[in-house]
Amino acid sequence: MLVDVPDFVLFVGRFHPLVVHLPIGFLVLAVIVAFVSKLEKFQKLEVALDFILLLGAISAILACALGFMLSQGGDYDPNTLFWHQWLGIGLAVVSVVLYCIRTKAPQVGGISAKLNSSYAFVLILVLLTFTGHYGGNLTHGSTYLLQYAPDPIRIMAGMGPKAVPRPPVTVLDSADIFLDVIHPVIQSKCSSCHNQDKTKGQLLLTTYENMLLGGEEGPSLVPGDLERSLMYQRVTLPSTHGDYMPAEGKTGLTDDELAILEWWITNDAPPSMQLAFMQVEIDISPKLERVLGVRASFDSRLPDKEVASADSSLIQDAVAEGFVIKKIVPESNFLEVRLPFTGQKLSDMELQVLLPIKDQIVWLDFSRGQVQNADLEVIGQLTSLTRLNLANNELTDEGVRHLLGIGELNYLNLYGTQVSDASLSVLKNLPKLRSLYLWQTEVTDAGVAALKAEKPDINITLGEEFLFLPEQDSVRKNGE
Amino acid sequence: MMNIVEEAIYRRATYNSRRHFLKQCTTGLGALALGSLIGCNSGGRFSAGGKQAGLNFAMPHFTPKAKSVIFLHMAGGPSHLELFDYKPELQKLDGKDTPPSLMEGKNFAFLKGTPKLLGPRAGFHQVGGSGAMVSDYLPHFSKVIDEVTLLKAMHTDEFNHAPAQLLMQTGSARLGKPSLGSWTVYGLGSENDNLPGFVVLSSGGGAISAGKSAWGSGFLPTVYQGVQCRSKGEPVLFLSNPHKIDEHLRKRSIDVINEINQKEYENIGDPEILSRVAQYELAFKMQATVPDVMDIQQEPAYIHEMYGTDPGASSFANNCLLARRLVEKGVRFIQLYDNRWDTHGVGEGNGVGEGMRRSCEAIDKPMTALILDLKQRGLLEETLVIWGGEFGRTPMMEARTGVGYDGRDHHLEAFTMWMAGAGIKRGFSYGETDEIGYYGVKDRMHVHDLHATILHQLGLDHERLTYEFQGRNFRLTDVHGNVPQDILA
Repeated sequence: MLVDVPDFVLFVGRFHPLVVHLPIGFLVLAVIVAFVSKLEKFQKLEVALDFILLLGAISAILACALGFMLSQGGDYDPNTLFWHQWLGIGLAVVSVVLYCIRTKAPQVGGISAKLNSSYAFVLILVLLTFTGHYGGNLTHGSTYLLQYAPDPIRIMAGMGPKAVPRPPVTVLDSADIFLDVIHPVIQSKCSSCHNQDKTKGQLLLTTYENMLLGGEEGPSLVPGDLERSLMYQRVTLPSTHGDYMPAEGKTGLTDDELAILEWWITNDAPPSMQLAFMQVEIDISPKLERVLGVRASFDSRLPDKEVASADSSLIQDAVAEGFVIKKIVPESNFLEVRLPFTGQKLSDMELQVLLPIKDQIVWLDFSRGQVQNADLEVIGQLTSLTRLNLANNELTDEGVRHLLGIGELNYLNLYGTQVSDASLSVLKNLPKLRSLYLWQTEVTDAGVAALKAEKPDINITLGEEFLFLPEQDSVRKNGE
Repeated sequence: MMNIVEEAIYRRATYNSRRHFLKQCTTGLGALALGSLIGCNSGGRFSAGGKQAGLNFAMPHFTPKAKSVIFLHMAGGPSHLELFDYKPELQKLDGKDTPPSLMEGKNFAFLKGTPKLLGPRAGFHQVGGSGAMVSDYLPHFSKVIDEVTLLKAMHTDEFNHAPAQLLMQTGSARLGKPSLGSWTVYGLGSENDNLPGFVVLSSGGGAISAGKSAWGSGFLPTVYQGVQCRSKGEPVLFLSNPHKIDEHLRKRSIDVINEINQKEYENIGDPEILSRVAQYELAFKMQATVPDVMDIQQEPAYIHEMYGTDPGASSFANNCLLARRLVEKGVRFIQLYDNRWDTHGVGEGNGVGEGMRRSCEAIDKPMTALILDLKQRGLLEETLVIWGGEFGRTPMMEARTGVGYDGRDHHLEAFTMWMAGAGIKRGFSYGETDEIGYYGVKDRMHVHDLHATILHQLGLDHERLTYEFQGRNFRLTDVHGNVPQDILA
């Protein structure tokens, strides 16, 4: 690498990618004009050809000069750079020579140079193509062009078929800390400068081994040692610091990514390990979930499945019956059903109309709705329900047993009903039940304690918490 | 015979004839005409699924955790240093001069010169399973501390009541922006056709400094503005039938007025006319529903005991109970104001000592009861409760008249709020202040972040809930706002 290049040279050099498009445009135009003007219709363009060629030649010389300055900054793959540089210079020379011949020496070998420069224009096109291609490789990396090409084209170009992407992570435990988490982050945030073609600071960050190897300033990754792991040190500097990475205003690592990187290195930076086998601290797992884009544990508010859209005429039937029906979110077809606030009660309504849309109904609120035990037979068939509010109805254990089939049920509100401990032994069999409300029922503290012992996952609210009131028990039990 | 004042007015008026007006306004009138031609006042477009005048069936952006919000705004700015932010170090510095570094370049409403530091006037105890330190001023609330997330490093941009309250309620310290409740109802609609979607209840005496703009709808259609209800006297003013007008006549009058308005709308196309029609209709329906829902006498005695209500009066306890009743009736946003927290210490009993302790007595039991009552009814899971003032109080003592009465000045750098229910972590504390409670030093949370979080729990993306007004889209959070994932359960 060349050192002590004056800043000014690099400053000017960085205009190369801008200026380089001028000769491309001019010379391509010249080639087009050269051939098109042979047609009678476009013959008039012939007079402009030499001028266009001159512009092309001048801008090509300028681009060469700027390109040379840019190359002084180093960090480019020398082989590609060699070809790009000399093909570019060749292009400039051919353009200049062609211009001179066409204007200064009209007769070459007894034939009009103007008539006979077709070969030279073809040569210009070829040089232009290859110079441009190598230039593109220098900036974007040699795999950029064909990264998304169909496999047959990739194989012809000697790149081999596309790497099979790792299957998308759906469960946190099955994700691999390096392959699914760290590596993709490094790929997206670091590898555009630290790859085979553009090895800034002699550092490659494409594989785990390269990270251990490091660059000019030493190893990038030292498992278990944050202090000496340069990759961690450089990304955690203040973004205004000169050594901060990623450089040149590129998007830095997010807070989540930083925390995970720190956690990975501290935990001896395994090159591949499933999260299930690692000690994932409670504050790290939500960060991992966000970076991986997996749903936080499992959103208990909706069933863990997709359903087809309910027939709108069926929804209309239910609405006509008086039910208030709403879609919960635009993207899913799940529905929320409740009684209107007009005072209309379930006893005046035909509950059966909900059955044809039972797959879609997930939230149901029939509190204060004069629901009878018999109605629970129908409600029990709404097996997609995750939230069911039956508070303040005349319901007993007799009705509650019908709810056993609602396997998705997460929230069940039975406050203000006449259910007793007998219902608890039914409800404990609901696998996903997490919130159970039993204030102002006949359920006893002992019954709740027994259920809690058996099913610690269920949060049971008995309304026990009037700590500042004198007569706790009378308050809770004699509700009305 | 004109007197001299009238003559002056007359003379002045003759200088501004109609001719003058037209002449001077030529370009302005042209611009006005052009503006209405190209539809500048068309009332904007709806980004959420809201319907213009009816409020039904707007949809959130993602699965909501909260269906309703109860925001307990302690107008005046309660001292975080006497309630939730325990600072033993400040006790040691009590009476010492404030270091100049804490005063330089800072704006205070009243502090000047070199004030003395003022140690916490309340005792603190570690409470609950989370081990939070809570003031002895809040004996009841201490028992439900495990239900809430404390936001201990809140900060704001404004150090005076009115702009700070506006910022807290509308996301902007200037007038004219829609309030948090209006945005919410605009985004989600109302569940109950017979009640307003956004209800405002006040206690503590006097109007808050920001006035009615704190619950105004700004540039949103007026149908989204908050409806102030009272727990004393008639719940909503001007709602009941005038003398000798029965319900039938009232209904017919409203029908006729609405018909005229509808024709006017067809002529002019101003959506505000539809708002007016909707409001007449809602007002008529509310005649039946509001007195019923606002009648706390229907509640059993143990509930009154629990909240410590005072039926017939205007009190924070009554309002907390009303808030719960309104949530049960599907009201989307209930905004409470309690106006008694401006503890400058301008006289005996006005500081953060005995005076503030008495203020706490008025809210401690009711707000605790609100949380417990929502919880036992299974409503806390889907109701977001927020508590806090518009700013905090300084660690320095304010002694405006030279004599100090344990007063603290307004402080924008740090204050404590809490949130409970609807997917917010239970028994959690977010953010830290320095050893004297002056600056937030960890996990600071701005008012915009609070707004983003509230909308997030309601299933609304604060960056997508927009309203086009005067040529551009507006948001509650302007160009700010982050949802701190750490406080979400």
